[in-house]
Amino acid sequence: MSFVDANGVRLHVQSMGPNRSADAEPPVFLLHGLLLGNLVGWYFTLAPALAKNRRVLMHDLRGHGKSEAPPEGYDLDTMAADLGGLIDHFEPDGRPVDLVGHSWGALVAMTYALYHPNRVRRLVVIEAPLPPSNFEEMQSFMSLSPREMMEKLPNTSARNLISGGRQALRLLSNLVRLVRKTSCVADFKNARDIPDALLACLGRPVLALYGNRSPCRGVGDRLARVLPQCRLRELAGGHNLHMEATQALIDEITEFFDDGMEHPRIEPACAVSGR
Amino acid sequence: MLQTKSEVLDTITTFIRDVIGEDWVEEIEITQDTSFNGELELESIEFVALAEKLQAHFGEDINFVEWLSGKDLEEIIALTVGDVAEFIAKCRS
Repeated sequence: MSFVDANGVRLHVQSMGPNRSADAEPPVFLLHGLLLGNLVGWYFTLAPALAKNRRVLMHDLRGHGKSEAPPEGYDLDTMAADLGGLIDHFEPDGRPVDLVGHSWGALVAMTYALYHPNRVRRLVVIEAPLPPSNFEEMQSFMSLSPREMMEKLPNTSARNLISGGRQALRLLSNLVRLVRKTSCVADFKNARDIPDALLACLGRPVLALYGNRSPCRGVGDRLARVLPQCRLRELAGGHNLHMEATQALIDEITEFFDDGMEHPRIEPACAVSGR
Repeated sequence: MLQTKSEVLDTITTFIRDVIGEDWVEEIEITQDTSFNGELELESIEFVALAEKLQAHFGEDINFVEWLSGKDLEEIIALTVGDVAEFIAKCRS
């Protein structure tokens, strides 16, 4: 297991693909969603395809997977600072990187990109919910007990995978730790919208991917309308597109990264201050 | 340096015990028929840790992750220790 201390928290990181070199493509960082997510969701889906010609870095968000679970700091700003610590660690020369995030992880990536536009080249946003806590399904999910959350797992294969005693217990104990011993759920519920005026400052090319059956689908239209450079694609599936539409997702993302578009840097007439 | 499947199997067994790191796993016999999901009840994130160790040990000759990414979840769940040993031995022959 590889760990990196970033922003004062010990994060579990996995790397795939060629190691760092100055002339290679910059690395891409993958960020998973809250509660039941961890880097494994990428490891056997998108990561191997993206790692064919570049370095892919995935981490467990604080409180998730094998990362440390401090009692607080599950808000977007703190998690974006965690990501910033990792980016500084892996790209100390300040080379801009690509970011791919799912759900809450997509919001973390967008937050980081707003604060540090010069450190981000391109951004892939999968199923970002905005405002974060506005979706009834997510609100009601967040109100369940950890055991009920596990029973709501959407994918029957995933359920089989955790049906064994030891696996189920370990997943449950992680979830209990996160829900009962940290501010994760409260931070989610308190998360505010990213206003349109701020989204309009995101002067980097964004690929927004949404499922046609997802409750968040409408957010994709909003991003396409508000972001300065946004390519919106609708894929067949619900919220967990990386599991439900893996190949379609890979195709869209590799096309977006490969299309060679020289993205003119947009310096919008707005300033974002923060960490 | 060639390794036979049984030597590879020994290495994998050592890594599995390391990754799980719990007392019970020292006591069970791990053979080529042992299933990761069955007897071992390996968590998927532990499977990632095992892949990391195998890659570091056997080096560039094997691309464990690429091999796995060609399989669907049902196939991954059904994998035995012997399947992994055979894959590694084949890559190194």
